[in-house]
Amino acid sequence: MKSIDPSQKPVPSWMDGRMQDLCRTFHIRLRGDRSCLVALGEALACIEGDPASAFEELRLRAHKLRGTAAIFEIAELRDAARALEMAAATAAMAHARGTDVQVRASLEALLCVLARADEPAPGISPLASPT
Amino acid sequence: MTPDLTDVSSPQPPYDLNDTSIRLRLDPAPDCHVLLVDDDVLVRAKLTALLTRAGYTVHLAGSGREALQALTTSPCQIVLTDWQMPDMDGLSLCRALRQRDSEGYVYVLLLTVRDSSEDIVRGLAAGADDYIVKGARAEELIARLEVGKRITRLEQSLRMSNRENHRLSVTDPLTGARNRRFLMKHLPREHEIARRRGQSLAILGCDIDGFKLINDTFGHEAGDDVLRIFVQRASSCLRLSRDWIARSGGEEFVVVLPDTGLPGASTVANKLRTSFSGSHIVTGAGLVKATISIGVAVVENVHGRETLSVGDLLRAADRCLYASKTLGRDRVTAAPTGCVDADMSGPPARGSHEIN
Repeated sequence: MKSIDPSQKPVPSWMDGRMQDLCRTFHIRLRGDRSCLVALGEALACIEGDPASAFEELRLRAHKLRGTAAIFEIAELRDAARALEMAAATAAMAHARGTDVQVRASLEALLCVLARADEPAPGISPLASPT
Repeated sequence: MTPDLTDVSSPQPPYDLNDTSIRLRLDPAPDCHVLLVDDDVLVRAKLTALLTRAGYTVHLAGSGREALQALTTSPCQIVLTDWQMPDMDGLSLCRALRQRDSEGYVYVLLLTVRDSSEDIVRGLAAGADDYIVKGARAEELIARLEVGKRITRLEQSLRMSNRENHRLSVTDPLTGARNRRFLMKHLPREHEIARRRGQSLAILGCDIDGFKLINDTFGHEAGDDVLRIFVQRASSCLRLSRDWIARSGGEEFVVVLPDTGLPGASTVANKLRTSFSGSHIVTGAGLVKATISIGVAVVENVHGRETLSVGDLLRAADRCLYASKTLGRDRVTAAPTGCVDADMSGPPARGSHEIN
C-alpha cells in the first residue's frame, strides 16, 4: 500500500528542515482530524431529524482538510476530502438522512486514507519521534 | 506625517524635502510586502517559509477582518488570501479592499481549493486580480506573485510620476514657490474653508523693491538669486504645515496665512520684511542689498456675516502694497478688515496704517 507520509515525498529544492518539520506537524494533526471525523460520522447516524447542520459541519471539516492537504501536496488525501465535501454538500441540499450512502462511503474512504497516515513508513517513523 | 500634494485643504510648500516622491525615488527596490491570509496556522507557516525564501516580506492574518486591520498598520502591496475563512471570507475581503480608499493599489491573489470555473469567475468578480488553486506547484505560486509585484511596482511608479507632474504643474521652477495657477485655484479654497470654519484668513502681497534696478545693475542671474533667496527667507518665517507662498508675477509674491488675524499677519509680515532686508544677498555678481514692500489684507470671518470675496482680499492687499511703495518702500501696510472696500482704484482707504 502506498504511504501518504508527506516526509516520503521527493524534497524540492525550496524545502528544507523547516518544511519537513511542518509536514510532520501536519501529519500529527491528521490523527485529531480522524478522531473528529469518526465522532461526526457516529453522531450523524444517530440524528433522527434533518441532519443538515451535521452535514454542513462535515463539509466544512472536509473542505479545510482538502485545502491543507493540497498545500502539503498530498493528492490522495486532498481528493478523498474533496469527495466527502461534495457528498456532504449534496446531502445537505437534498435533505438526505444521516445514513446517506454517498456520505458514508466518502467518509469511510477518507478515514481509510487517514488511517494509513498513522502507519509508520518503512525506515522512518515521523509519528513516533516528531521533531 | 507624509505631505500629500493632492490634499487641497492643506497645501504644503513645494520645497518640502520630506516629499514622499523624493523619498521613494531614493529607494530603488523597496521590499515587496505580502499579507498572507488563511485561517489554518499550518498553511500559513508553510507558505511563510516558501515566500520568505522567495524574498518577500510576509505579514499574517487569520481572517478577512484581521487582514483589513493588519493593512491599516502594515501596508502591503500583495494580499494572498484563502477563500473560506471564519469572520470574513476571502471574497468579502476582496470587496472590502476594492472599496477602501488607500494610497497604493493592493494586488489580490486568491489561493483556494475551489477549482470550478464558476468559482474563478466569482473570485475575480469580487475584486481578486488572480486566482490560484491550492496544490499548484510552488514555482507557479511564486511566478504569479512576481506578476503582482511587477504590477504594483508599475502602479507605484505611475503614482510617483503623477505626483511629480502635479507638483511641477503648481510650482514656480525658479523659486520653488507655488505658481500663479496654484494661487488662483487654492486661494478661493482657503477662503471657503475659512468661511465655513469661521476663521480669519490673511494674505500678504509682497513686492521686491527696485527689482528692475537690481536686474539692470547686477544682471538677470543675480535677480534670479534675489527671488530665490526671498522665497527661502520668507519660508523660514512661515508655519510649514499651514502657510504657503506663491509667485504671482515677476517679482511679486502672495503669502497666504490661514486662520490668522490682523495682529498675527502684521507680525509675520514684519518678520518677513526684516528677515529679507536684514542681510545682504550673495549672488553670482556680488552682494546685493534688497528690500521688500508688503501689503496686508485680512478677512475676519464671523458666522452669519457676509464675508469679503477673494477678489476683494487680493485687491486690498495690492492697495496696501501700493501704499507701502508710495510711503517709501521697505515697509508693511495693513488694511483693517472693516476698511476694505470694493473700490481699489484710488489711494489707500482711510484706516490703512503703516505697522513697521
